[in-house]
Amino acid sequence: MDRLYRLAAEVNRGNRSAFDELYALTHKAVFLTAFGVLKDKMLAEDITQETYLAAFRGMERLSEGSNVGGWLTTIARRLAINEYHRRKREDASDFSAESGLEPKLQRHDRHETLIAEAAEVLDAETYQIVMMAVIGGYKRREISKMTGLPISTVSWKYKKGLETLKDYLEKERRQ
Amino acid sequence: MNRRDVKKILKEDWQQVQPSERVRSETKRALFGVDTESEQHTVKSYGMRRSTWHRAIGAVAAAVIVAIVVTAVLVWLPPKGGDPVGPGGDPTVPDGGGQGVTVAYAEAYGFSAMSSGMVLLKHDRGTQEATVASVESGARLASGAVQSTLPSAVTPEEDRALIERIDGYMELVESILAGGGMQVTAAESDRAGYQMMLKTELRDLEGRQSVMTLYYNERLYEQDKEEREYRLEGVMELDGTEYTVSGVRSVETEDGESEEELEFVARSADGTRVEVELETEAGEQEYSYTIYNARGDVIDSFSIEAEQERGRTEVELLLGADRATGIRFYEEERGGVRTIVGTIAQNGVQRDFVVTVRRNPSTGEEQYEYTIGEQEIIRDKDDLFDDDDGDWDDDWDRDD
Repeated sequence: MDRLYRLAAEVNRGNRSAFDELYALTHKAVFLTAFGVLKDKMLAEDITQETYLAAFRGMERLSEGSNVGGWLTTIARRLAINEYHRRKREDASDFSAESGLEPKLQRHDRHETLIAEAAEVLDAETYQIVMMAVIGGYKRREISKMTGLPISTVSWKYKKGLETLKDYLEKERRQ
Repeated sequence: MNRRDVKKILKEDWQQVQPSERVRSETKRALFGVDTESEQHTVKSYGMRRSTWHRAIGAVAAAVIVAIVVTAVLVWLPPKGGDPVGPGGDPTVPDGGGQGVTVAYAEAYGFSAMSSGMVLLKHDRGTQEATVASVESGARLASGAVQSTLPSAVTPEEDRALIERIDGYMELVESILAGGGMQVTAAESDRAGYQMMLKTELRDLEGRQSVMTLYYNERLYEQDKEEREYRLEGVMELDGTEYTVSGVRSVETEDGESEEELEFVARSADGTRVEVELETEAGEQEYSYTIYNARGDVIDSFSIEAEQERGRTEVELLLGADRATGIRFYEEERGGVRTIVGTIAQNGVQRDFVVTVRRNPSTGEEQYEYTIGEQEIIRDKDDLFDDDDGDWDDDWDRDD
């Protein structure tokens, strides 16, 4: 039985230590998925928490063989995108129509880090792959399973993503 | 600035960005309620334990496994049919201002071509029954006749399915276990339109020979201070069948260390293609294969590695896009008969098996005979195989 599924099933039965193990194995992927959309640590933390709560409310959708890692990151992305649009609507309503000011997503805790900037520079899929590999330490086959992409595509996007970030940093340094 | 620098910056940034511990504790509280015991329990560090058996061929081990006979070293060969043209339309300056492809990479090309050709040939044979009869006498190839002995807890049908799965990779595994039986020879091409020729000769465990000939052109496609990229185009002949091939080889050098990657593609006439990826870093190599049908659907995916362990060559296959099935092989002599011993692990169980080569008394053809053992439950769920190891394995980046 897949390890993550076994842990999820244990969590569903009330096993606290199984949650600790599941969290340890998956939280980086979940958090980085949310952070890639929201670029805000505090918001991404909130989404991470909501992801696990939503996941275990919907456990009946899982069966043996389900891709638990991919399921969690899919939930995280959906919640993050919903949050992004919600905040954008709220921020837009705070601005007078005559001001001409562009409404911006208010961010509590904007990070001027490459992890945040990479989310602007890379497409969502490449960002997820690069972050899961470099930060999450996931191997190619694990990312392939979570994303549903062939391993060769994961490898290619990973390399291209790093190359793009390298070019981006070099350009930033020159400016 | 290189890719290592980018990774280093990302990892440093993670220290600022990573979620705080409260996310875990608050989520846990929301799921389970307040823990009546102290919540200041020690959180076990589960980490990302992996099997350390998942290692690659060392440079020395590669020399043992694949004996290379190189007859043309760093020779610049004038192209036939005109100069190679670079992306800008200008003639490409050969690498090093006068050097063609370094035959230090002949081994990688030779093995990539030979192995991808074997995979395609087996696929062709699988879809055309007549090809079994057309096998050249010089090469012993796996037959469809298999038998299993020893009682097992599973059904005979399951045994057969398992054996057929292993059988699909036996030739490739045997080519690696043959070790010094593989020779790669580079020479000037004797075929019009191609600069280089690589001949890969393989002797199987019984001493019979297969020959693969790769004709190709390779040119420097682009380069900067740290990285060079070469492109390859050619054709490969194996057992009377021809396949078109292409490839991209990149070399990145920094601080005296280099990373090399090779992507090699072989295509059969029916549109089936095999993509081989080879990554070499710090002298270690890993081959990954993806097989596509003519529609572009993935029909198989696996990786293969070999190492010298316990005084013998051991080969490990990881199968499927998720690499969830593992098969290990090594060779030994039993009662004067050369056998391949193995273990297959999947879904939390593993089974040992033995493969011997026997001559079919009815057909006179040689075939693999499999003897498969009982199922064993894998105790350590963190590992694919039941190994007694607890170290980390990281095949993304070895410079940490």
